Amino acid sequence: MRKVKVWDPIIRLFHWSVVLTFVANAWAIDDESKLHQQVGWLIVALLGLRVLWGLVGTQHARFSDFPPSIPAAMRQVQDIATGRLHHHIGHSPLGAWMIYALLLGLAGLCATGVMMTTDRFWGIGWVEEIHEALMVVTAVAACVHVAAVVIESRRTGVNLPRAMITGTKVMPHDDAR
Amino acid sequence: MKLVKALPLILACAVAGNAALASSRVNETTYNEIATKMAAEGYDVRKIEIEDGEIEVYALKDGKRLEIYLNADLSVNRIKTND
Repeated sequence: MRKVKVWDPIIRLFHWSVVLTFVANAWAIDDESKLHQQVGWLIVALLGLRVLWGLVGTQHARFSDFPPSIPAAMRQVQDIATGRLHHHIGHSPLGAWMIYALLLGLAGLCATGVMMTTDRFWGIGWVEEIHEALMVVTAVAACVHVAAVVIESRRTGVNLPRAMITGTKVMPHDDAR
Repeated sequence: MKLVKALPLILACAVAGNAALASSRVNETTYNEIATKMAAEGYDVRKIEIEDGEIEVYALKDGKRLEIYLNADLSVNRIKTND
């Protein structure tokens, strides 16, 4: 086995902060409260941090390290279907699609959330409806993400959740790219 | 397939997500009554709905964004300012 440093502290801080703030705002905090808005602003800041870090951060944090690619995703699906093991060091192609979906969902939630605090969009139905729809879509995506991480961890023999805590992936010696 | 086992988790999350979205419409007569009355009082009424058993009005007045909660007899119960 070899240990590969993959996720830097900023990525890990971002990841777990988003988990906490999204879960809190989606299920624990009253939608109509000041706190809900404040946590929302915190998510805006976290997203800003992530975008910046995606441009200038460490290797596997950069968006250039995991571009959304349909051919690569399909290759990964084929690998899964045929039982071929391939270890990705950073985000896998399917993982990349999920990350962008989650980032866009959160961005949409933040945008519609902020809009609802403006005079122009105060009490305007469609803004709230999109906000609520995005919440469900993002929540479902997050659940799929968790399930996929568990499934992929078992399939490839790499403890992915642990890696997002320690920053290090413990991987077999093979053709990891 | 393991995905089949993950599906109940996914659906549970979707249902949980939807359970939080519980507001309903007021009937048209009540809506018009409230809207007219409040417009006459200088409110820019944006939305009227029932949330958690109360009538809630989203409106603007004097440069403030307000949530006005009404009793069943349409009198004002309380006003919340969004700031």
